[in-house]
Amino acid sequence: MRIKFIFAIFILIVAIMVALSLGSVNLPLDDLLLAVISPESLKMSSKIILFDLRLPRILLAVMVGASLSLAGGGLQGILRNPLADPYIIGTSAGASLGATIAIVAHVPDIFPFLSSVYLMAFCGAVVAMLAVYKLAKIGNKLPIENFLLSGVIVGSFVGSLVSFLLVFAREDTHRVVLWMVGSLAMANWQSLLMSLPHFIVGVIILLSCASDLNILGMGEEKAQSLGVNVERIKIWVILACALVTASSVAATGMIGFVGLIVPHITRLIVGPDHRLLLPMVAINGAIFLILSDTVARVILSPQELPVGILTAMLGAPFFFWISKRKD
Amino acid sequence: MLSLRHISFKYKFSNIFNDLNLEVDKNEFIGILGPNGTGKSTLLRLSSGLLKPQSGQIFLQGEDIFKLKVRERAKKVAFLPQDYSIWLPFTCYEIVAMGRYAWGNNCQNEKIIADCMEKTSVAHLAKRKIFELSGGEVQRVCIAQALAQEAELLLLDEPTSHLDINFQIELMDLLTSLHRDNGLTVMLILHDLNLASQYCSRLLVLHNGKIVRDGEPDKVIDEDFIKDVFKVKSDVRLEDGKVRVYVKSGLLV
Repeated sequence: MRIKFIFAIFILIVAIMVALSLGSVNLPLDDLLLAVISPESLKMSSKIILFDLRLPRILLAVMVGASLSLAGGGLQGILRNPLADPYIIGTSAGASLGATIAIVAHVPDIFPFLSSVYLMAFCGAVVAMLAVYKLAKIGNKLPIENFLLSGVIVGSFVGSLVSFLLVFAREDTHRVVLWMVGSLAMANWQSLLMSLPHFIVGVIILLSCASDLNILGMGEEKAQSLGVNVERIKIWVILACALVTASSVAATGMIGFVGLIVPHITRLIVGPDHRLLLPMVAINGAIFLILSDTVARVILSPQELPVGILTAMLGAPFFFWISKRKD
Repeated sequence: MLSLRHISFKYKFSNIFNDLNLEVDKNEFIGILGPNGTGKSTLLRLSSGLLKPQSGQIFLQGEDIFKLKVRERAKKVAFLPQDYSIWLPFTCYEIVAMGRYAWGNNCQNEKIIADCMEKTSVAHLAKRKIFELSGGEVQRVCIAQALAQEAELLLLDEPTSHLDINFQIELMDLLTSLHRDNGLTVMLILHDLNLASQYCSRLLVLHNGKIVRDGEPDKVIDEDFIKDVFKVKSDVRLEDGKVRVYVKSGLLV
C-alpha cells in the first residue's frame, strides 16, 4: 500500500513538471530543474510564463482536482451511491447563477484583488447548498433520499433562472457558457490564495471522517448501532464537500465528471477503505486534472480548449460504463 | 439489564405501543413472537436506542439509554438488523473490525477481532470480500462484528429469515453457546415457533402493540395462543420436554 502512495506522488510530481514544461511556449525540462536550484538562470519571459501563468494554474489544477474528487468520494460515501458527484448538492447550480448574474449584470469588482464572478459564484453555491439542506431536513434528521431529491429540485430551479438570464444576455452569453464549461485559464495567485483556506479546512474535515464513512457503508442504522453519530457525520461531510466544491467552482467554473470518475478508479486501486481511499482520491484527482488541462492547452495550440470539455468527454463514456456494470 | 417503562410510540400514521412495560434480566435468552406489523422490530429498535419513544423511559444497565453517547451505547448493546445494505466490497476482517469503532484505537483490538472471528468460525474468511459469501456466512460475520462491540446485550431482528434449515440450527447453536459461555443477554425476533421453543428461555408474544404473553416456552405456546394470535389451527405437543407445534392447513376467519 505504501508503494502505491509513493508511486502516486511520484506520478503527481512528474505530471506537474510536464505541465510546467509544455504549452504554447515549451520550456525544456532541464531548464526547469535548473530553475528549482537557481531561479535567476531563467530568461525574463520564461520566468513570467512559469511563475505568473503556469505555476498558479497548475497549483489550482491540483487543488480543484483534489477538491472535486474528494467531494465526490465523500458524498458517494454518505449517500452510499456510486453515481453521486459533488454537483449533486446544488453547489454547481448556485455557483452558475451567481456567476451568470455577475457576468450579465457586469457587477463591478468590489475588492481589487478578487473578481466579482468568483465572489458571486461562491455566494451562490453556499446559498443553493443551504436551500438544499433546508429542504431535505425533517426535524433534526436528514434522510438521504430527501437530500438527493432536494439537490435535483434546487438544481433544476436555479438552472431555469440561469437560462432565463441567458435569454436576455446576448453579448455575454459566450462568457457565461465558457464559465459553465469550466476552465483553468482564469487561474491566478489571488483565486488560488482565496480558495486555499476552504480547501484546507474541507480536506481536514473529510479526512477526519474517513473511518466513520467506512462504517456508514454498513447502512445508517447499523452504523448508528456501531457507535457512529450518523446525523452529525452527514452534516460535517456535506459541509466540507460544499466548501471545497463552492471554492473550486467559483475559481474555475463547473469542471464536470472529475468528482465522479476519480473515486471510482481509485477504489479499484486501493479498495473501499476511506482512510486510504480519500488521500489517494485527492492525489489522483490532482493528477487527472493536471493532465486533462495540459492536453487542453496543447492539443489546439496556440488556442486552448476549456478543460471542462475534455473531462466530460472522458467522463460521459465512463459514466455509461459504470451504470451498465452495476446491473 | 434492560428496562422499558411506560413506552408509547407511534409512527406518523400508526400507533404501535401504548404504555408498554418490559424488564429483561441479565443472561436471559428471549424470543419475540407475533404477527407481522405488531411492532417487534420497533421494540428492538427502541431497546437499542435507534428509535426514541414519544413518552416513557428506557434504561440500559441502570442508565437512561438516550442520555448515553452513541459510542457508549454501542459498548453496551449490539443490534443486528434483518437486512444489510453493505455497498462497498469490504473484506470480512474489515467488517468485523468495524465492531471496534466505539472503543477507538486500542492495542487489544486485533486480538479481540481475531477472537470473535474464531468464536463464530469465520477466521478462514478474513481476507474474503463480503459479497462473495453465502447468507449463512454473512450472518456469522455480522455476529462476529456485534461480538467485537463487547456489548452484553445482543438484539437480533429475524436472524434466521434468509437461512436454510441447516444454517438456522447452526446460528441458534452459535447464539446459545455465546449466551452460555460469554454471559450474553440475547433478545431476538423469530417466526419459527419450534425454533423459539427449543432455544429460548423466555418468550414474549406481541399482538396489537401489547405483550399478550410472557414466560417460559411451554407456558406461552399452546393451541389457543396460536389460534388467537396467528389465526391458524394447530396441534401442540410436548416432546422431550420441549413444546412442538404442528400447524394445520386452513385459516380461521
